[in-house]
Amino acid sequence: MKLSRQQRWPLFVQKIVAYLCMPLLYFLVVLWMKYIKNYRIHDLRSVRRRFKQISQQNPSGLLICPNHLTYIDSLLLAWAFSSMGSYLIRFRTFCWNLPNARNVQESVLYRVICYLGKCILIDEDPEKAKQTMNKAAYLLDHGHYVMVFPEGRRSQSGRVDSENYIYGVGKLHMDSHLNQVLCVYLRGDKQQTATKMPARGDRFYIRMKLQTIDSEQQGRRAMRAAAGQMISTLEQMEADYFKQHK
Amino acid sequence: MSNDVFEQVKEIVSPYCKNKEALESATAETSFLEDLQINSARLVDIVIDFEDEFDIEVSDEEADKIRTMGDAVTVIKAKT
Repeated sequence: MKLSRQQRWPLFVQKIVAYLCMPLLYFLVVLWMKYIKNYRIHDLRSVRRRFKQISQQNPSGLLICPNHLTYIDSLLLAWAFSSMGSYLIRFRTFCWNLPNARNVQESVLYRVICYLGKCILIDEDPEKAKQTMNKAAYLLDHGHYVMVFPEGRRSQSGRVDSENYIYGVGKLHMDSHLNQVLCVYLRGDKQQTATKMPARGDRFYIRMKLQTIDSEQQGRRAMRAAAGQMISTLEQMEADYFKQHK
Repeated sequence: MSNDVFEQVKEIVSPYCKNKEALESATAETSFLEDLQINSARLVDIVIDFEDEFDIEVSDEEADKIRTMGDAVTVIKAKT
């Protein structure tokens, strides 16, 4: 995926500014999650060990596809995946995110946090959304990590939404020319259905699975098949979660 | 022919359509997203169904232009 200089330059500047501000942002966000909201990650060490192992096995970019239940899923995962020090050493593993512009455009504070948190906003306008997806594909192609929720929005049923998922994530996978995606299942012990925030004091279960995407199809059929495989993997991971947490 | 295609389009769209009343009274100007309340991701399924049903290939550029029932009929007619 190629971008014009006018498109590449703002991404480069954002990366530098985000890197410089990352220690403060990470500190404040983790402080808020850990000490004010009293959130905990089950077996944080093994989650970080696994993520490090995966990132060492993948010197190229990585598309990360988690399920989606709360507004702060990407923050929780950023905390879970690596320590501040690890991110400073391997900043490319600090994921770019693609939140819906509608959710943040009304607040300057949210927009600043999004900018510093390596977010590229997805606009409702299809042409602008396509440009954002091109940027994401470019980043993946250049060794960055990008997080996209294949369900497209928080699951209203509280389970992986296999009916209304988006195919754009399949297109992103195809455009990035990467074989694998990292499917991530995240769930708080108290999480019953989609909410804005997890319950105070919740403890989060996280599992990761590198999934090879196979498709002999072309074009939009391949895009649909790729997105379908990601959703199936997440469904399987969810089934495993409920089997363990009967 | 045009009317036949329009009816076939209605039939293809039906399983994805949340507003069945709007589909019943659909015209060429009826939009898939706003009027029929079809999820934008499902538009991809609809275009694939058009390709299978009419044995045609729709490019990404053409698919992007399909916003209404009339747009769909125009694209299909141009290829059959």
